[in-house]
Amino acid sequence: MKKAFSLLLVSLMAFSLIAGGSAEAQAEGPATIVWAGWSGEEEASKAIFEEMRSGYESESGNKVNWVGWTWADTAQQLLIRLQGGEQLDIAQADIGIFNTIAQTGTLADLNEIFGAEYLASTFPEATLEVGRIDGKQLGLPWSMAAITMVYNPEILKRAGWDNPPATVAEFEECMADIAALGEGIIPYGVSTKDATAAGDLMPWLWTFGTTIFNEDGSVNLGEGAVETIQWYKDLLDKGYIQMDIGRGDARQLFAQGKMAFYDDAVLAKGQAVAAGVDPAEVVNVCSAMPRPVLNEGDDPQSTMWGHMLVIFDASKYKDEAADFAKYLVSDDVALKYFEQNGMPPVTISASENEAVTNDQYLKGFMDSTATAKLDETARMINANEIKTIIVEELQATLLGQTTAEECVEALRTRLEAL
Amino acid sequence: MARDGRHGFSDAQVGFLLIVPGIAIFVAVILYPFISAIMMSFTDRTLLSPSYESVGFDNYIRIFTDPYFLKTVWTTIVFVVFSTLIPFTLGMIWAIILNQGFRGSEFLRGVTLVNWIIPGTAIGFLWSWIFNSQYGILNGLLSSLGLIDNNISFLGQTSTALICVIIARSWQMLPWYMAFLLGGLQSVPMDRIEAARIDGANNLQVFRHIVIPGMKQIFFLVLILGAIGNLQHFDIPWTMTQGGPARATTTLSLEVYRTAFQNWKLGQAATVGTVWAILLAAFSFVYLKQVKESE
Repeated sequence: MKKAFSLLLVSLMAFSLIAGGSAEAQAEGPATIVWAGWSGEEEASKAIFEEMRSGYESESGNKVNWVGWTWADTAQQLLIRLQGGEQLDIAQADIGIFNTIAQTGTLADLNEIFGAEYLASTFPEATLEVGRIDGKQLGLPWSMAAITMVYNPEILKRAGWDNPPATVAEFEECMADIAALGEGIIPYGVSTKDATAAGDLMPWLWTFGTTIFNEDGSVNLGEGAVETIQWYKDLLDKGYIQMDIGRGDARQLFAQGKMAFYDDAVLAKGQAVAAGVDPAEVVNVCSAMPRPVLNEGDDPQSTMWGHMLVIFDASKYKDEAADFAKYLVSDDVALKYFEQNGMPPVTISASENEAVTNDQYLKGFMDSTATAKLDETARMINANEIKTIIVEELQATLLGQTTAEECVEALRTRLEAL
Repeated sequence: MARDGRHGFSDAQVGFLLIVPGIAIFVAVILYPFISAIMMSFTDRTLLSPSYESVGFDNYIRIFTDPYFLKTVWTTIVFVVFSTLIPFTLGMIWAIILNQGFRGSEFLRGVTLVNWIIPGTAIGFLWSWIFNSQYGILNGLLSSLGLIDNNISFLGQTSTALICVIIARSWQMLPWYMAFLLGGLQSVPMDRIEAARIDGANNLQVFRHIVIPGMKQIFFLVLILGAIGNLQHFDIPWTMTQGGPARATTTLSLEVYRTAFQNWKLGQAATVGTVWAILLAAFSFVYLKQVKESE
């Protein structure tokens, strides 16, 4: 009797497991997709992200679960989630994160999902190129512009400059004039602290006529490299730049009117507005400018910046994720994102909208985008490691532990050893 | 052998059954991950791909021939030594003061414990603001006292960054040392102190000849436990300097994090972690030996 009861119990359990499994497999109805990223965690964009999510839910009937982290943690959290086999359908990725995730081979080719025709007719080729690796369209452009230099026109006016400096020589003169004001203003908040220091150094290396890597990936660091590092050191010695400044510090000090120049993307506006500046008046205290050139006639250098959307190949809801991505880049949603957060839309139709073309603040960034290049490490697997090495060696020279020549030599040795 | 009449288990069997859950948890939570990490240190595993290959001792050869890694070990030693000795010394002084039993000493003891309760990341941010080169209170104070003309970038200089991190860590841990040492002080036999005083011993002599020998055991345990805690510590250096400038504050814990979660190299991170665990094991061995001897 006892044996028979046990057998019955086991049979019932096995049946219920099988029945449950098939019920799940056969379940139909609204999909629940997982959307990951960082902007939905940031105070400035939390509301619009929530609006995007709920807007799509009510339009499609599907459910969107947001999973977010800080920007700095996003790449590692996505990787851990991917290796753990957890559900991930669509994610926000900036240029750096995009490459890291693409290296895992887990991203879907969007040509197959959206069709090459839709992509070509919706986005400019230059923006599609940023999300393309080895012929596969792995990233859908969402918002793109350049990281260029930002200046405070009011401070420059006080220092006797009606227009921003156009050459490196003028830039140095301008910084000297700002320092001479004696108001405790830091002339230039170039990053010297964290990974952003490597990002800020690159366009200056390009300005001085060199690159870190050759096109084949070998280390270049030509003559201009020593010149650039020595120039940084000179700026520090003159008090024009400072140690222990990262992007976050620069944004704060600039927003408080304690810094004249720094490097940033369109997000700079948000900091100024958060500091109490009327959005319509932002250009008076925060304007984008072309990076000063070494010789007149040179192209001003800037780095490509942007957010993309990626869809995961293993997702059960690729079609729904694609539908959601289309919703996010649609004119109405993209223009709302632009109005509320200043994120420039990338679709051909939305970027031709009057609200976008007439925006004076955005214009400076978009002008720089014309000659913007991808961060040199943007397509490298060990981008973070390279940036860490660059920052360590740059800091060692700025702190007087090594000369500019030794810095470049150490960089070469360490980068070649990777 | 004693047996339970009803179930027929011996005492030893019952004892074994009782420790089985503990052993199972130990194996699942500590032993398996530890062995797994050691095995991973012989591979080229990364966070970017689930596939990996064995690389033998390559990771070990790589880190021991890397001058930057040896510098990291040295920085770790400096951090551990000073972050242990400074709060230990100050904690002892504070414990002696609180042991006087004056009015309000209990309140002060409670207040002192506050820094130990605050999370390490919050302490890191707090001290970052204090040392900040632009709006830091320390620069403000030095400037208003006329001691400096230009602000000092405390966290941006290799000569001062590690000192700042050690100060912050010492501030956090001072109450922990104080609490242990106060307990030790209160266990020193009063009759011996009183006898010494009757014999004409001054405070210093009492401290040297009675208090120190009486607290030798607790000094040792507190120093070893403190050193182990500092060897494992991550939050304060990470939030204050992220290991910079120019690696001046990079300790082994930061190196493991950076290698695994910024450079994605799990195999190499496991190698650094294994070396780190060996260092920890040396301290733990001394600690366990002392505990055993004291029993």
